[in-house]
Amino acid sequence: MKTKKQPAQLAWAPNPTREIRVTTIGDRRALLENHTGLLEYSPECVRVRCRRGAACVCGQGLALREVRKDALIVTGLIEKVELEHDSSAG
Amino acid sequence: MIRLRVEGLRLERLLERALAQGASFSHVEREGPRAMVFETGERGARVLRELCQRHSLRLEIQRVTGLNALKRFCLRRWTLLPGLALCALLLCAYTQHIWRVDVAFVGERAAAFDSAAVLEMLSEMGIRPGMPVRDVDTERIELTLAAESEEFSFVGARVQGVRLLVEVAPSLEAPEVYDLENARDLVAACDGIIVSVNAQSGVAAVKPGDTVRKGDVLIRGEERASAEETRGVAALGEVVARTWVEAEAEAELSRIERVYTGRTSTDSVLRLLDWSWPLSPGEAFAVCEAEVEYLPVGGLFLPLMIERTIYAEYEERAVPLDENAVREALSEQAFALAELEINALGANSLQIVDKWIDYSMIEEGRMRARAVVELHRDIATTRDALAQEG
Repeated sequence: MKTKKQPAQLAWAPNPTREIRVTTIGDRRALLENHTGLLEYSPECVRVRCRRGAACVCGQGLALREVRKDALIVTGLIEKVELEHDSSAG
Repeated sequence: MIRLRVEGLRLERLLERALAQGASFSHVEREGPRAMVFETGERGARVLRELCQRHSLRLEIQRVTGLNALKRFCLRRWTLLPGLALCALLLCAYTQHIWRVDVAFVGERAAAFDSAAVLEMLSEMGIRPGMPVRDVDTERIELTLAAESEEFSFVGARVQGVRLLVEVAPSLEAPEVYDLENARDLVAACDGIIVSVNAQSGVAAVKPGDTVRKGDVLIRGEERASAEETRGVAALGEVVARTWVEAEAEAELSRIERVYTGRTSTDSVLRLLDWSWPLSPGEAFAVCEAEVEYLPVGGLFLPLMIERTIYAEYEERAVPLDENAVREALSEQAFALAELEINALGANSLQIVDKWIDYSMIEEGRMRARAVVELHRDIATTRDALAQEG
């Protein structure tokens, strides 16, 4: 049976519980994986829902690329990435 | 790739639902607080369209590119592909036939032949426009044409696309055969000064520098049989001589011009069929121009009319022409006449070595131009040919 091969550079950070993973490449691109839905999108802020709350990418002229059900790429000038912890989510 | 623009509130929810239904987007951008632009494939566009319809959102397709565009184009013009296929089929069928049969004559005697006879021969062989290329046997055409006509020394046939080209080279005429035993001399066809003598058979009777007149013997048809005896042979050879061709042209040095004196006279006659009645007599001048006009009386249906003749007196005056222009025109005319004479000579080895023109005034204000062209040409001919020329 074929198994999905993980990239070598992520092998040190296994993610079996599918927590949100935010990977930024410089300040121009950010890859958001394992989100559970888009909460808010504007050129200044992209906010996605995740298992334990929400993640927010703030910046200027933000656009979405390769939008899939559980992953998307944010492009534009990224200023900060915030993780909002929801205590009620457990 | 399809680019769509959606207007409405809470477009993030729309995007989320579309993703839940299996859509994916290569690019999403917000254009304003209530507008978002999506770039997606065919499936994503369909999902988005359904969702927009369900939630009464305004959707606009901005651009369709790539395979989707091609697919839409083909669907809109569904007859295009069958049409192209039909065209290709017809083109294929068209190129499988011969639509032109051309005959080209090559070689020295090409101008003397007409292609109609060859085309008729081809037609008899069943070669005609519209026949399939596979039925054209070029080898058979070549052999048959060469066999049927002795006048052709070479026949080549080849198929070039939809054209059958048949190249025919007419055979050259056999050179004149001399009977060496038939004794004859070569004589001068015209007056001239000998430049060179090349006697191939017989004995040269002239040498370079000699002046000969028309009919003089140039190469004598004899050869030495023994020390004391000679026998007759057919003289052969080339005798090149300086000869001259002359042509003359004449022209007036003035032209006659009419100068009207201003004196006019009108003669009127009332005419009914053959009967006439003079109305006002006019004077006819010694040198005048008459102009007649008819004026109908009582309408066009009555043969009654006034015949009016207007006489206008004039004098004739000679106006001198530009002499240089006259000389130029005469020179052209005289040399053209000389060229015609040279062409009429029909000699093969002919070389123009010099030409000049003289002008002279002749009686009654006329000018004469005499063009002389000096030639080097073979003047050797037989007595029979000279007699035929007269």
